[in-house]
Amino acid sequence: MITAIITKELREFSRDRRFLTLAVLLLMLMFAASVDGWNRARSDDHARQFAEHSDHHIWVEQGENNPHGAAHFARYAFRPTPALSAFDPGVFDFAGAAFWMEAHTQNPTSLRRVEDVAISTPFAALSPAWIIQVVGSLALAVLLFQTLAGERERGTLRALAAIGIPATQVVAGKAGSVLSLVTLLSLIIFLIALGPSLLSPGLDVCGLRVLTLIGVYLIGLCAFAFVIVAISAVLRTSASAFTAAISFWVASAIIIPILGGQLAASLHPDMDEQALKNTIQLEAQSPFWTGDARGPAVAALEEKVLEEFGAERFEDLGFDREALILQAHEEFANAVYDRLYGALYDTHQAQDQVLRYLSLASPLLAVQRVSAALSETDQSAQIRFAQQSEAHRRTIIEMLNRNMMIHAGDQGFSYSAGRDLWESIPDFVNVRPSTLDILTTMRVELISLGIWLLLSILLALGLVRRALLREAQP
Amino acid sequence: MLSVQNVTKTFGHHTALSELTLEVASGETVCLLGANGAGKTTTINLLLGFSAPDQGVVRVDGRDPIKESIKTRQALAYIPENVALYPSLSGLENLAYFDRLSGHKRSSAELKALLLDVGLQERDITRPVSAYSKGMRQKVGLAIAFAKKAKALLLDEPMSGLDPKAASDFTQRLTTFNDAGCAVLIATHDIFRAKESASRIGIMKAGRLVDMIDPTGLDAGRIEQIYLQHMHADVAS
Repeated sequence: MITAIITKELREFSRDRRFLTLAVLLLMLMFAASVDGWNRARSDDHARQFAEHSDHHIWVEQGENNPHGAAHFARYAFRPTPALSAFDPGVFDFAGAAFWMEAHTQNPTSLRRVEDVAISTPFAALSPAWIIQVVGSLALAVLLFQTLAGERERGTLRALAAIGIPATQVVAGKAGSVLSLVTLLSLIIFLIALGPSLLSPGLDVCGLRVLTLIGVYLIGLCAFAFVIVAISAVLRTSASAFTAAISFWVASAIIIPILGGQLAASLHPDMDEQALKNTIQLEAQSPFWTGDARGPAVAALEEKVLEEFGAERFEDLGFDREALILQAHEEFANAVYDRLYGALYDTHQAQDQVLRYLSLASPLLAVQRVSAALSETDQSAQIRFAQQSEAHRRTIIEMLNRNMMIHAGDQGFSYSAGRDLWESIPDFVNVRPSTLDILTTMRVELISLGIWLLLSILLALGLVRRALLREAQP
Repeated sequence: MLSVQNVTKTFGHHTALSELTLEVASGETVCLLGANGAGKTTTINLLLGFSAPDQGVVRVDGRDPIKESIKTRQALAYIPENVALYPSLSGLENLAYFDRLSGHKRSSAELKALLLDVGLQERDITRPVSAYSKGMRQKVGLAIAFAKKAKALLLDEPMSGLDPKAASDFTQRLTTFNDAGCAVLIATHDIFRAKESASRIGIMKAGRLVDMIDPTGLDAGRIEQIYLQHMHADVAS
């Protein structure tokens, strides 16, 4: 009996011109966005690989050079293009993909994809994820608002009530048809959205990650769909059900995510970029650098080193004084960077936290956040890249300073190192989080999705049952 | 099969049925004639368990339609004034759907045969119901009722809006139910069709069954005369 209801519902959908029109539009949009997304991801990845290779080559082939000179010559850390950025670019287009790892300075990330997007690129903002989250959910609202309201208006709900089948079976059939519709549509859409990844062998698409992503979307869209069914069951006319369904979509897909971002920014305002630069410039000037404080600071440093090594005279240690001062300066500046950038990241995380708890109010916001996290295109992924590249910068600079300190003798900045040193400097490796790590971070959003799914199913089932019983009244 | 004993039903201050007593036996067709608001539809709703009586007893095949609503409705087939069907599905698909929901699983050929039996043209069987006339929809309704193999059939103004030939065809098909031992209760305004199909005709006014006549040997004109006498009596009182 349940199968009969599901088959009938799907047959009706397949003959509904609105369904066919929406499906064709959705698939066309998805195809365009998917092809564009994967092309961009592939070309980004090629560009990154080329840049990485060039950077390594230029570094190794720089010839004889002073290590500190090399530290200013510097290297780049490139953020690998996340394969799923083709599906969900998140903030990836607006966040820098490269980090210049020079001495003394923690630079902001650069090489933002959005700076390179030509105006003629029509699908710059039209990602497969956005289409599913916004257009797909709208399509569900349009398709499902009549689920019960339409049956009531046609009189078929009363016919069902009169036939003598338990309300629970009708409810299960309706639920099954909604689940089947959402699953079927989602799988087709995901096939189009992720299919081109097969043509992008360079991009590392993790099967488990993709399955998790599909699962998250299915949960979110089903929760959304069941709310629409509940609306359709509780309101007596199609017109009022349509208005309510669209209102719910507007709130979930547009208002809450946008206002959420604004609320987060007003509760935890970002630091002014120029003010941050000025503060860094001011506070990162260590006493080792210039001015009257340099003499006493250097003397204190030498004393500390002598104490540490139990030596009488600095010259007995055979250390290059300039290299020691350079490293001391680095460590001073690093503490400043940790404090100032730490405060900046804390602000971003506090903003993130606001959106995290707001996802309890919108299943689509929860999907949006988990989708970007699994695609590694969210703010956290960017902070992770910035922190890893900064840690790598400090490792490189310390290695160069140490080499100079140990090998320069009294040559100071006249000392030159060669290829052996350059080759010993490791390339930057961006360590990616596991799917489990991401899901753990996203537990509030996942709990939100679970609650939404459970409550929406219970609500829909209860209201469909009530609608059937009400229909069996004069 | 269908039993209504001393039933009173009120909606607010309006008395829809007052001490109504009515029996319809298996194989019998009873028509309820009456003006709008006479209580015909309320009687059908009570039998379907869509409504509970304030007083009295309603039974369908010995069951209480409220307490045993599912089993009662499984024993009944119901054809309203406008048969509700799914417009994008064909007559055959609608029939197959309701057949499955009734717990049967007839083959496509059997279902087609049922639709042909009720007078639907073969070319119409697979057309979407949205293109059907009212008469064609009523035929699909009849086929659904046939397919259900119900013990009793309730019809609420089933011939309203049908052209004379379609109404005549419809009445003819109803006899098949009686032949199968089904109790049939029809609420109608149509005296001529009531005479054509009923074993007994009940005349209702203001929620009361004021007369129960045997139409055998009476022509439609005489039945109308009896009906109008009751109606005028109503006006006079």
